[in-house]
Amino acid sequence: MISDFPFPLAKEAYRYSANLQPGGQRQATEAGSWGETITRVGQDYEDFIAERARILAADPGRLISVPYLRAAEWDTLLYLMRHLAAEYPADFEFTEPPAKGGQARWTNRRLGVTRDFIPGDPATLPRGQGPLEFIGRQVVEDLVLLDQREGHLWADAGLVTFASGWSFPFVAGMTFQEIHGPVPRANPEGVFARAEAFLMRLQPGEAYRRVNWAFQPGRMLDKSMDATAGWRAEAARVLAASPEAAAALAENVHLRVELQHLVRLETSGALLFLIDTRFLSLAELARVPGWAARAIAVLEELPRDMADYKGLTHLRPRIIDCLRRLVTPVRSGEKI
Amino acid sequence: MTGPGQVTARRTDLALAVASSIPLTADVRQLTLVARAGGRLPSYPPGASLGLRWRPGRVNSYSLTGDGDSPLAYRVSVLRVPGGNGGSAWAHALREGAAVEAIAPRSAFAPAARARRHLLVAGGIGITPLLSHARWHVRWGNEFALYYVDRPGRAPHLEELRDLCGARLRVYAGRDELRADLDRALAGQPLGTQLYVCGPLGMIDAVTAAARALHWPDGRISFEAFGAADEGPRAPFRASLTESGCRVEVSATETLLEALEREGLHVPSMCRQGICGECRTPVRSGRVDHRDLVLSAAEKAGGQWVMPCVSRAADSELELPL
Repeated sequence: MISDFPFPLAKEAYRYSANLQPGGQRQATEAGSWGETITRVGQDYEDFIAERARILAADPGRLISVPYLRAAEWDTLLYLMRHLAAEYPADFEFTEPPAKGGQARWTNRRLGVTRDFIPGDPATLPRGQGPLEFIGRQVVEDLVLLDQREGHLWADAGLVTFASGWSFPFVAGMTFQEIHGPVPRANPEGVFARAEAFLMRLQPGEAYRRVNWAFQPGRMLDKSMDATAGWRAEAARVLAASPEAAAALAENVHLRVELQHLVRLETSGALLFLIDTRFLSLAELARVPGWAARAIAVLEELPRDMADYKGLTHLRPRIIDCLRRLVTPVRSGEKI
Repeated sequence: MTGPGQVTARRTDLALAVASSIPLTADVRQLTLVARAGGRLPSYPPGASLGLRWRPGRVNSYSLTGDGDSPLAYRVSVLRVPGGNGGSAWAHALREGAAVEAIAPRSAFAPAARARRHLLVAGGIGITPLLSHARWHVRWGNEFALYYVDRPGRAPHLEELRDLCGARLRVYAGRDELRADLDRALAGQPLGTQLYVCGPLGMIDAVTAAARALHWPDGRISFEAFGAADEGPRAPFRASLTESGCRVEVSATETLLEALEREGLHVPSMCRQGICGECRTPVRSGRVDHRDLVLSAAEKAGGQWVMPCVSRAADSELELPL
């Protein structure tokens, strides 16, 4: 949907910054608005859930659970169930335990799941599933749990099936700053050191958000380094099928936006990092004139090292060209 | 209060009422506070503190002694401090039904999730955050021991701790008595043990020095001085705007950014937490009390910029070219 798409380009030039803002606030755009919820349950909910299940079956290593974050896993489950039920009451229902140690009830009408369970007791969840996996299979967001210790945040657990250009199994156990080591320009400017310092001071229940963006051929959710062969083949197929014909490129190349939330879990004190992935084709992008103009300006100005890091080295001129054609009215008799 | 799904980035103020006030010892009272609107209160991690506004612009922080999970009430134990700033006398005078304005729980002394064992050392009223820790460790089956020192007959929460901790609790009548046992304990902990100390500064110094002498790394030592506030004090000041000729009075309960916005000035802002740098504003004159994470040490020393979302005047006035 264009109307609730979190269009990420706020200025005519893009640089990395600690662009964190409070979560849960409505943000107006030229095409509508977004941002009033922490979770997202849209028309494509079942598609995301099925794709996550497929990836987990093929590569169970995308789920990483550690015993010392079990309290944080339960916090994650409760946080997400409460938010889903409050944000999408027609689809989800959560009944708190009547007293400590009592039974909670979770209903997910979209997937036909009803579960009575005792928070903190894994034996009351489906066999073999911890709290992170149980809730992770019912949300579209990638989930990473960060433990705070010794002056840093450590990404020690999570369920990530839709990474774009990174590998969760590879970075698991690293600090926040180590994970962001490859990002050009941002580290010398101290962006991630500042962001980490800020996140470590988040207080219980606080949620902040940021958006990240890229362009990609096709709309593969799993663009992780663990699945490079698969998405490279898919990207090549998409680009081959869209030669210089702008119309085909417009349908097949997408702006990929990650809406990321960082939440200080209330009871365990761990940080929960949520990543929701959205796609907008160039054709859809061009339907909002301000967005297309902004995208062209940003892409033209983007320094080479940043373009390389975003995988735009070869794609950039084709996207700019395509967007230009889409927004420029075609005069009769003119050849395209 | 935090009903399911209530989303706010900065949850600060809570409207509470006193449900009960009972004496625990001669100089400690336990206050039980509930939401004036009823219902569940925000959860909190062990060791978190609740800020109570006892006078306009003045906040005293008290450790929450519960387990923090979906509480229906908050409990704090307040030591009367004769000759203190007056906050503890105010808290002791509160009775059932009194309205209390509070700042939602803030965490600064949480358990280390990854530690394989937790060694808790408390002195006097310093027991309060570690009581919350002990509840957490019992709930999750974590390995821990609690060393508690106070004058005989004065130690709050002792019966409760005995029930909760059993043989994991050791009680000492004085610091010297603790010392011999503690040295043995510090020397004998398995690798990966986290040490937590809360009590008077003298006790914190003695225990942490003993641990360091036994080569405990700093990252394995957590401490919280009793009575330390977790918010810098906020004094009122004036912002004089040289372009518009306005004078803006910034009260102790608002930020400079909020005061400027109240006067109708548009200052671009985003995080409002001193991190993103969006609200960077030039300073014409006046010393700045820098509280942001954006400006470098050199920039802060230079005094030409202020982040009005968190920083304030160091003196009574700042002059801004707005």
